[in-house]
Amino acid sequence: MDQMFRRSVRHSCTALTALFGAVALTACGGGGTSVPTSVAPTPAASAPPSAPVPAPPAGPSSGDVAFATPSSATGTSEAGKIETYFFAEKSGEIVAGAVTQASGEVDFSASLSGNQAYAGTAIRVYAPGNTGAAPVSAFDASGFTKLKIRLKSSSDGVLSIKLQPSPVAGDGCTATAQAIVDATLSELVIDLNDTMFALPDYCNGTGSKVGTVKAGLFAIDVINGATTTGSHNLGVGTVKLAP
Amino acid sequence: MINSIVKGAFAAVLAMGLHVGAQATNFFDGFDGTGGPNGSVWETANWANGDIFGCTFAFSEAWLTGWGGLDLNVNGSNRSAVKCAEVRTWQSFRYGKFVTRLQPGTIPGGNSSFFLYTGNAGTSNHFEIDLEFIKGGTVLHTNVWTGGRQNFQQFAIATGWRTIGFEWRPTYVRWFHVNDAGAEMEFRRVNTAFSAPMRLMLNHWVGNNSSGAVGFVGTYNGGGGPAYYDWVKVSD
Repeated sequence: MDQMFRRSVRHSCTALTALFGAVALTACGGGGTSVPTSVAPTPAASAPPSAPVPAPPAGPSSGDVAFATPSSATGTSEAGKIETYFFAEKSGEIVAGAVTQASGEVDFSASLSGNQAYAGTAIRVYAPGNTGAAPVSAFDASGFTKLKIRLKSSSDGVLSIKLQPSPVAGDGCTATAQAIVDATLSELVIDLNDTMFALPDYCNGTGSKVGTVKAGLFAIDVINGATTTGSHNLGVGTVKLAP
Repeated sequence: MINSIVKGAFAAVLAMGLHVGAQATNFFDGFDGTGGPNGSVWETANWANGDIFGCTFAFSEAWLTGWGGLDLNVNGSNRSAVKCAEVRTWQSFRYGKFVTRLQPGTIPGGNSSFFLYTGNAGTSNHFEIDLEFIKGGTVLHTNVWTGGRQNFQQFAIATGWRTIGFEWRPTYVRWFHVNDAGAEMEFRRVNTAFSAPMRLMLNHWVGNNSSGAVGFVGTYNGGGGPAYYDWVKVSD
């Protein structure tokens, strides 16, 4: 049994080697079975884009750079805008709750009165200096390799994180990661690469890949894509970029 | 956990030293000393798997803690002979709900896991359901292998203690974590149908920094540390 198992595991890892050395990582999102991701339009930027602005120099201690620190329900300490949006297959069956902010965290919820084929409750944090008013600014995040984002949801177990270019990808076909969350605001450290930030399956490989979006990061959307009847919430805290 | 029990007929059969056919048997181990590695419940690995593993599974790296947990350790004190740990049930399971409370390892380039496995990988008899914490415990790799074909998805995840598991039924597999209120929060579901009995496995290892290893678990730069399992539960 032991020998048989050793052989089995070795073969398994060979398969994984082949897999991860080749193309399958681009399929992180998993063979058409990924967590539902919105195909519904997301709000467009309210002003035309301008050229990306250089990222500020890294801080002397950790090298992390603050991208968005919620300071109110509508803005960040980095002079970026915060807004919320929601959508559902049946638009009359979703009702938004209040947006609140406390202790560097913004929270939002929406309630579904029926099950949906797709739905979403979302918070968008704009790039530093991006107020949504012209001229808007994207953020050059090319030099960063990790996103550090504090998230929570007391109603659901997974949230989607979309890196939005300018103009935003209204069809949702942009670099998207999935995060396991719970009711406690916790920091997630996510590699800014195609493995973690893949295009949603339904995009069939078409959309803004992470390498492109990083050079002109306009905003970050966090979406609770739950589709079942009931209230669905999410919270977003400090968002940072790390070298 | 203080209690450690193996319920039902399986326990009686185990006592006779026999392997049993897979059933959706209730099973629990709180790792308080009555179960644990090298016991009648778990088999402890003591061998090397080869690529992509950068360590050798060793009896010495699996032990019961003093507080009722299982420590699967990576020992990197000798960089050229890194040791790691793996245990698996003697029993095979067919269907059920598989849950653990654990603190995954946080070694960059490491993998701590909770999974079901049977067969020869990549062949028609290979079946597997995975929860694997990789890249310093910041990424959760979920996967289901059916007849040698896989369907995986990765998630960002915070480090630290958590209760997490999966449910395997005749027509689907779903993964969930358990919140503080005890509610299951599903985060992935795959419709799939297979019935091959599988053994439940836990391990903690580091990659060998081959391209395949780096692509999967990240780069291992040395060092060691534990993955803790407070308890493991299987229910119908």
